[in-house]
Amino acid sequence: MITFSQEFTNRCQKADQKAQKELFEKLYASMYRVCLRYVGRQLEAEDCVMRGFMKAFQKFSTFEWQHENSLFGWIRRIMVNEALMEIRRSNPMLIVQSEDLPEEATDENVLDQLSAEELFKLITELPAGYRTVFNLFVVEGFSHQEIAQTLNISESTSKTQLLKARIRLQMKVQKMNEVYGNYAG
Amino acid sequence: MQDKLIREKLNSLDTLPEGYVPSLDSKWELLMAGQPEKKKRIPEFWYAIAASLVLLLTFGYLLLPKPAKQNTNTIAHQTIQTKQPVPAIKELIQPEAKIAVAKPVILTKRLQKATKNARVKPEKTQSENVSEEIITAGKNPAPAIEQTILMAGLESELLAKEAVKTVKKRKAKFVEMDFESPVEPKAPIQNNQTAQVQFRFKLLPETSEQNPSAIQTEKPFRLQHTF
Repeated sequence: MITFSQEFTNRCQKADQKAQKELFEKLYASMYRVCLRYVGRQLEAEDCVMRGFMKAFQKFSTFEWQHENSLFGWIRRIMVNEALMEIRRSNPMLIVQSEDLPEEATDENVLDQLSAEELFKLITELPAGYRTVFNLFVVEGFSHQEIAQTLNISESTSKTQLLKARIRLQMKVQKMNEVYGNYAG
Repeated sequence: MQDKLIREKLNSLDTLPEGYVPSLDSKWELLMAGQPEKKKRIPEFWYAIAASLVLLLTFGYLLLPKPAKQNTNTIAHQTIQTKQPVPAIKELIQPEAKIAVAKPVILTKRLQKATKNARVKPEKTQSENVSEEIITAGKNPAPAIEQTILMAGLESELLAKEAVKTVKKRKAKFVEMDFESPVEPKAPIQNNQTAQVQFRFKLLPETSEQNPSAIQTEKPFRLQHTF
């Protein structure tokens, strides 16, 4: 997490272009990752980042500095909202209705073995519904009730989507391990 | 526990993915281009000052006594204000005024036709209706000598302008006339009008490059009107 001082934040709020450009350059990569993890495609992620920064600079006067991480968290929330809006635009049927998956996860610790980059790649490859619920629940820390309100779905649907997302990820990891095992063997 | 590990791993990613190298400068310029221009907020008291000024000027205009207008109108304007009946064009010209009139000959592009038409005998007619002759100059005889038509009032002026316009519209741009024995007017035109607008018709020698010798012998004239 990138931290920013209050003095720097004040400069950004006073529309100091130099400070705003520095903020943009420092946060672009992190925010691009956030957006890409939600929308799954590069072009849409770029659009989300740009719209998010535009909104952040326009609404900078509403931001109140509390601690060094607050600016990062504020911009990140803006990016998540932009990504969710993009998902709603591009995926009106967000929820994956039927899929033949085992009802319970086989090995829950299998995801821990993955590196951050591998895990990121696997999440972006998930279907939109699974990916969104997984990101909101696991990464953002939303409850199922909040997810249901945000995505306009029921809580049970949110739980089902999360479970299926976990199973899908574990299956993928197992498949990867088999491939690597074959190569190693 | 597992979710916390996943969250930490994903949040630790603060670099761009491999193979993706965007130009941040160009993206920044794009971002700045998309930003709306900040509107300069005009303080409210400036609006109040502007409104009070407008009100002050309006009341000042309405309440201040207006100075008496000086009558600087001309005679012609006075006649209009008094609403005197404007005489018709026919009445403006005295019937006693006899004007020598020559039969006009219309010159065409071809010179042969022009020379034929130049040998038209003069026709002495008493012009009781000069204005009508002006209006229908293409068909009827036109006045042969300088004639001053006196008219009063603005309406008669406009009517005369209309008459001149209709004359212009006709194709008879040049009128050739014979003035071997023009008849002088017996009685002078009485000038008893208050406001006067004069129309003068001049007959000028025509300069033609096609056959100057024929023109010299026949002495054609070109009608020019000024007002």
